[in-house]
Amino acid sequence: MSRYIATRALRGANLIVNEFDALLQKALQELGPDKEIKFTNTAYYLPTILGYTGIEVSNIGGLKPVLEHCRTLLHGLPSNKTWLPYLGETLDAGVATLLAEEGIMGIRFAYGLEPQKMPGLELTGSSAPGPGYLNGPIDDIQLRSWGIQLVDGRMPGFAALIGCAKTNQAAVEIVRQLQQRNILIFLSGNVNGRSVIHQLMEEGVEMGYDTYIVPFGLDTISTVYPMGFATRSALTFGGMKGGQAREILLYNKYRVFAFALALGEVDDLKYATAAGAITYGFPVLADTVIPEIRPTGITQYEHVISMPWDDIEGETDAEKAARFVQRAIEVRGVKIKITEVPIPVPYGSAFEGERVRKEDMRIEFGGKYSRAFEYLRMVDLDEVEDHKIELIGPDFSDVPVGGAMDLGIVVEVAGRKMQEDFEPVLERQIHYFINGASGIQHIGQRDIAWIRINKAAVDKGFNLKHFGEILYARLHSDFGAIVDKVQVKIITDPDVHAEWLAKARVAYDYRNKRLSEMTDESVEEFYSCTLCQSFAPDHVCVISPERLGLCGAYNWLDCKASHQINPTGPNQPIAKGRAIDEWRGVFENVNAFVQQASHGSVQSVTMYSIMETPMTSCGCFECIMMILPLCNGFMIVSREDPSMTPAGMTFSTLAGMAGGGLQTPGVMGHGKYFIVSRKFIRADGGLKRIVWMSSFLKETMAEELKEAAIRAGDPDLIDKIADERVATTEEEVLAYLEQVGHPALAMEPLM
Amino acid sequence: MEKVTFHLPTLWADHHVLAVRELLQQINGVQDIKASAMDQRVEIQYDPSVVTAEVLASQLAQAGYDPTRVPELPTYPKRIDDASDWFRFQERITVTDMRDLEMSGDFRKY
Repeated sequence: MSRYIATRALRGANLIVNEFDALLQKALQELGPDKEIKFTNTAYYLPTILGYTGIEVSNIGGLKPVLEHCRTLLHGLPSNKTWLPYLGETLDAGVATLLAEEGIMGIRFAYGLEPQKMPGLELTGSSAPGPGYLNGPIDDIQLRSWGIQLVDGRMPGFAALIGCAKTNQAAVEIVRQLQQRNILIFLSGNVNGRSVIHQLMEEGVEMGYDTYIVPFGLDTISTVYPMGFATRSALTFGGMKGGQAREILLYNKYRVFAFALALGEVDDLKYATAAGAITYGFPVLADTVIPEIRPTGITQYEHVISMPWDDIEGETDAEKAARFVQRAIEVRGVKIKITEVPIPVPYGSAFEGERVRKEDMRIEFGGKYSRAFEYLRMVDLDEVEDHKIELIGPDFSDVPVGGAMDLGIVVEVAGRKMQEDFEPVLERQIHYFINGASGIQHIGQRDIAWIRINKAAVDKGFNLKHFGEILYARLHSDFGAIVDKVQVKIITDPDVHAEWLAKARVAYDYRNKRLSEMTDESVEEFYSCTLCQSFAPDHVCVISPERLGLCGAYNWLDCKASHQINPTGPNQPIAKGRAIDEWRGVFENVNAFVQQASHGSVQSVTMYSIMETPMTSCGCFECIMMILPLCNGFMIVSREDPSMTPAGMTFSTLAGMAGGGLQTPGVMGHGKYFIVSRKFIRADGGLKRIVWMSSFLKETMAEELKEAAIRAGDPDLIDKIADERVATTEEEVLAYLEQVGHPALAMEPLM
Repeated sequence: MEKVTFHLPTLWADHHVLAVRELLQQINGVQDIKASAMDQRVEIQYDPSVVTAEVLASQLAQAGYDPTRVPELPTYPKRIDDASDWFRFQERITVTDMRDLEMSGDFRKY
């Protein structure tokens, strides 16, 4: 332990707690103790405070016990002579710092000063109130939607960049290195008024949820938002409760791979905040000369590492950034597998959300002015020449800038373990694979695909054949267990395009029919999904053809393919065995599997009911369904809907009841497309029991819901279901149901 | 053009840097500011025909950044030999929290 670091951290902690005290007294006087404090769209109050202390702060007055607690954690500075142990004191000071920082942020929210203003900033996907604002805290909706990626390792963790890099180029290169490894990037702090946020803005780097770069604020105090994010990961996915500080910290140490990069000079508050981060097991790397803490202990490896930027080996900032980030990853102990994709632009999942605006566009395929399709099919091994990438027709050099042309991407795969059923599973990945290239935007699938390439990518040498290179590299790397050979045809010739489009459409139709004919009765096996057990240790999803995973990301076919790829992985076949109750969906073997996989915490699962032993939820669910007893039915709120529901709780609050592997009759998390399944809560009355639904679902799934309503024998059912625009209390829902004659009112009582 | 440097003990974190810069940028005659929270120091380049170092100092002091003001740290009892157990040479018994042991090595649950 460095005495210098301890001294500065202890001083910073004392000073920030004093500042918190002064600000709290001011706020109590000016705003009063009852003034509400609320972070953007979260059910976890002030999450770091909740995690550490269990105190649920909802107003200014609620911060008084937090301040008292901070005081108990403070200590004096180490003496100049006769040093006594100060590691514990420093860590305590770090905790006090985080609590005080979050308290200050809470008060700033009450004053309307958060999220901070930043003129000219536009984020692609954010919780900010609009353009010209920094993001502020990440809301629960985003946390959950990133859940599955954090869980399955696509997103290994997060890096908090604090301060300002040596040059703009260095900032961009550090961020690119992190993006290529799919690490979330959180930005805060400044040096002499300049922040890494300014640097990225000046260099035109897109920031926002869609590009995995979240700018929180211009000061170090905003660094408490990433700590709140880490705390909420444990509360959301780990099923922990506020106040379980020890469990929450250990959860973060072993499951949330995060680290901090201190860019530029390090002041007292940065040292104190770093001490707080270390309690979570997150190490700190600085690009300046500071004392180091190398012994392991609280963090898995070193605690504090100094890598002065000028001393890092490398000719260019790009080379230095690569070494800097690589060292950070080693220090945190993150294992990252990168697929080398030989294309002239950066590649990684972080570029998936990148948009290509019309003015930056070199060319587009599909959309309004042309047609693009993609089709993946399985062929015999001898029909495929591995790594053959053909361009059939002209390239786009003759198309004017901003123009459009027809495109067909035909992928032919062969493999001994490949099955026809896996074709759609692999084909759906084309969207993610192509989107991973920086400067390329891919929307849609099948014959409604829409691809844009920006000018910068073309300037760097990106051409049509590179689509083939991406698909070849990714299919081999991600699906190597079932795919032995891959060849790709990129088609721009009009006649060949028409010919293959017709073939593709025949295949799409065939697959649609095959999927719609697939029922739970037509298969012998369901699949388990325990992918989320790395975050929610007792949760098990049982996935059948008619009930997809609650995250919406895995259906029965995906699981089948995943099992082929990784036979000992999270998707295991469960032979249904004897049906204890076929109508309700209770199967002997399913129960046995769930008992074992949930470590005994769940004894039985009823697949088609929410009222009796419903399936548990991790935290990644797309929707939450809950009973509305007065209305004799259920409501469904979607993850995208932040408004108040008739249950008197928002999605975020409800999620606390439904997540963490808990089995609560009457409350259940599920995937969006389960609503239109024939087995949807069949035992409780099916779709006719739905009395309230977020309008987002009604609008985005209009066609499918209409079809399901016709199947349920009531074509106008969807209009009879209330939403947040007509009712936000149970009484209002009931009045609406009576007015429109909703069938649930005439059904047998639920309770 | 002249340059003046103030040591400001209350400039100890980067949110103070933002505040000090915002304050100075609004004063006519200030050309360039280098504020460091690490060194608790601000270096100002200014046009002496428009503004003086004294004015800058007084503006900073009014905003709580007084070169003579050292932020108070709470005083904690000094660790002097008060004949408490801490200073008595004796056998100490440390008890390992079993939960810590379980969290390590093969017993790791998380």
